[in-house]
Amino acid sequence: MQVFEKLSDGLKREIQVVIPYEDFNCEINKHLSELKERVHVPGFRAGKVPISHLRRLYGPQVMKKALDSLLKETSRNAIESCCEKLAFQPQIDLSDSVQDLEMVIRDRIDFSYLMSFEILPEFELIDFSKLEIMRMVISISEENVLESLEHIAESNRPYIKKEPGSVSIRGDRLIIDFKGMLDGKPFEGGTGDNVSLILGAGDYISGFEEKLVNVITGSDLSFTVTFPDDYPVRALAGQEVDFMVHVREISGPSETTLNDDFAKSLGFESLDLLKEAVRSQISKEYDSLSRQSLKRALFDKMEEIYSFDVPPTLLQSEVTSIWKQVQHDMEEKGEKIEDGCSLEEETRSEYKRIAERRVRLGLVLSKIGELNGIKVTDNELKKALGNQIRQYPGHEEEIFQHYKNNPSALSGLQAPVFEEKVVDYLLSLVKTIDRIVERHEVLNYLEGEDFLLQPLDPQVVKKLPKRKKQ
Amino acid sequence: MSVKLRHYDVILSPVITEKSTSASESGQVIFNVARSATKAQIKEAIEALFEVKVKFVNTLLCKGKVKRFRGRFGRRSDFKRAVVTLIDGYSIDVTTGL
Repeated sequence: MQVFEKLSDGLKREIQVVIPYEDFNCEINKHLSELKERVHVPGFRAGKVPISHLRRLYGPQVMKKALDSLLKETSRNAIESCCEKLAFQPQIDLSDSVQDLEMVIRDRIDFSYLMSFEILPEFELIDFSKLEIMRMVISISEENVLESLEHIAESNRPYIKKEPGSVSIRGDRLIIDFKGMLDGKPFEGGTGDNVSLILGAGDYISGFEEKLVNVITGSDLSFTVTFPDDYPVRALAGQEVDFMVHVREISGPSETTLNDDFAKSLGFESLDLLKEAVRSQISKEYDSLSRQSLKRALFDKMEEIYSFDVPPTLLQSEVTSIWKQVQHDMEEKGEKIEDGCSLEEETRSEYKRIAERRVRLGLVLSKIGELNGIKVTDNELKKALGNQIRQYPGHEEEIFQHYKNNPSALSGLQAPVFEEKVVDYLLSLVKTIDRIVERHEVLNYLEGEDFLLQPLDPQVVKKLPKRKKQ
Repeated sequence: MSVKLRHYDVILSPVITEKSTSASESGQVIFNVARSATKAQIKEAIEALFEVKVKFVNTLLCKGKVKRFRGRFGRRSDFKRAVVTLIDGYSIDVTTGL
């Protein structure tokens, strides 16, 4: 096998590989002798067919197979001889060569093909322990805790039973039995016993709650309500329904005070413990925010440091995937999708910038991970899978099967885990400077930068184990 | 000797079996030939068609098998084979066809 370099431009390479006729012939014979044991030809016992006869019978099929395996072997060898890392699978151009195939056999000439690929850029890793990165830390104030406590109090407002004979007003909670009749017949879902209803909450169809204002405990009412035209149950939409309602109980809202009793009603032993729980929840939220900002700052820094060229094909595929995501988001929001061509130049270059950053950071992170032997273990993968599955309650089995049957989906799951691990590793190296800020500052800092926060495209990560095998 | 149309009527097909392949190692080639063909005709046809020299020809007549179909007897047709021995130095590649 001989290799000639045809093109070397930036990260692009094109090489010509020449396979001598002898090698090709040898490969064909190898495949034929494999075939020999398996085929039955009339006039011969199994395995006794002469190769020359087999070649006449199965030549074309075997030639294709031989070509395939030769291509695989030689292209790998060729790349190894170049000693370079590929950005993605090489493109093999056979358009000219296949026509030659007949000629190769007949005239015993050498077979050659062109192969084009892009190499991964070479770059030096910097010493991360010299980096200084600012971490935004949000302090939790007493007011934050109180604020969320009040929220909790609001949603857990206790109701106190009113004196018999008192009149229901807005905001009261009623316990009722009701029976609905459509054309004199009861319908499905139209009856209920011991149902609680909060006046003014708007949980029932409009007109129903209004009828229950100014009634007293124990009263029986009957009235007619028209269902709205857009009611989800077709048979009821726009229909007039007669309701018979018995009011069992009326209770009014009471003020909540933040004390130990309130905490006990929520299952905590004392108010201090409740406060502690709220505080830890808030601090968890703030921690994740500050970690995000730290990650962002790290990536920003890395982007400043590294400015090597990225392989154009990787870049292109990243731009396409961003564009697809944007399209998807727009579709979900119901916005009109702009045609890819009519996209403004500015937005386009913005996407390109983001994609370049993503690819570049992805390359750097994967290299760091590789050099430091960071791997995603099965356990971590299982954990990630579990988290993923939990996001779709009711479909656990389906999702699990989906991942079980799709190794590529699983490796897509692997990417974020790998990224997290590498980031963890880097963060343990770099010097962090804490700065105390307000919550909204962090949010502003992170806002709209979803794209910038996911630097690793799975394509790069997917290749990692492969490279190790070689 | 030039190729004549009747030569094609004499030689029907090569016989490609394990036996014929092993025979080819000792310079013998086996053909299915017309039942009416004589050894002399076969020799002439082979020499014309394949441009080789024939030492001698042995022939054999093979009776068709008796086959039963729905209780009735039938018979496959008989055929003649010729084992052609070539003069040393000549060979025929039967796999490439005529």
